[in-house]
Amino acid sequence: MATTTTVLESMAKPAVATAFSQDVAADDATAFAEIAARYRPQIFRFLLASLRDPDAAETLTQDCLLKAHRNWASFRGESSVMTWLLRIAINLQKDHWRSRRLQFWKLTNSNSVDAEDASQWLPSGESSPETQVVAKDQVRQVWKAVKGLSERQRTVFMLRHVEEMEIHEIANTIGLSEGTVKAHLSRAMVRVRAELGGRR
Amino acid sequence: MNFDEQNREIEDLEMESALRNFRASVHSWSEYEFSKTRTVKRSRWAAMWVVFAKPAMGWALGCVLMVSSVGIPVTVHHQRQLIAERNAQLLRQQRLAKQAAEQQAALAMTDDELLSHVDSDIAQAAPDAMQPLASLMGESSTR
Repeated sequence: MATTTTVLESMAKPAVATAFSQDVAADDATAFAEIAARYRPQIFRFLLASLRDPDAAETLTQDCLLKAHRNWASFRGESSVMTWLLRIAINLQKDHWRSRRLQFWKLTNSNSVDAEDASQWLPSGESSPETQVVAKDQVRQVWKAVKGLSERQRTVFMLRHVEEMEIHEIANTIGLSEGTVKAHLSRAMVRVRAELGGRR
Repeated sequence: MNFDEQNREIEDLEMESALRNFRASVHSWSEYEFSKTRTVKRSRWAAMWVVFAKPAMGWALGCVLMVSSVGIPVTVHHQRQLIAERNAQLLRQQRLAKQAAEQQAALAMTDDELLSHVDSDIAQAAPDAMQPLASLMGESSTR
């Protein structure tokens, strides 16, 4: 794991990108396997939250890692690995939605989980049953609001509030300016707030 | 702190709590789904497609491409040859027809025309050197 950390640190710094590529060339496959194992849960979580379909999320996670593996040699370490992987995942997710829209006439098997069911998931803490009920209700309302967001707003919202990424990281991942990201996030938050019954 | 500010603060806290619960819920759900063993479902037709139909389609497409890449130029060349042959035959026929028409025209000459043609051929003045002989012939005939 120490090797991976060194590799990842060097990835984040473009100045040492050359040294990094030499290191990676020495043991490319092992390095990528470690990175895949490390970031796979996070990619899966982002895709699951975006699609609400565990099977599709799993498939797209595999596709994402496959694509990353194919382009591993061309990765220059200009951004962090996670940003790079999430960028691939976002593109795959876009393609997924596009193909779903094109196949609207086809009877496709969608395993998309309803917002109601998705809100049943809460960490089993020591909180009281009353608190649990309130929390579930809040989660259900957030899901309901998320459902009404545009694709881009949803992506920004998920990256900010599920993956806890900074605005500049989101902007770098999606390829938008920070101002645009803030605007999308603000619109998403207005919607969530409205759903939660707050001020409009 | 007035009532509005207090109200806003409560809403912000609620919002924060809702987002925190939402994040925890997604993380929890994701962890469960991620650790779950998943079987790959594939229909019998899909399996058959991969094993038989897909390679067969590939071969068929390859054959079609090969046949069309060879067959089309050959057909085009053959067509051109046929057209050239047909044109040559037409020219030959036209030439023969023209010759026949000339022959026909020659045969169609009337007897009078032929005689006048012959007369004109033989009725020519005797050359000066033959003139004494011609006069002798004229005299002998008068005698």
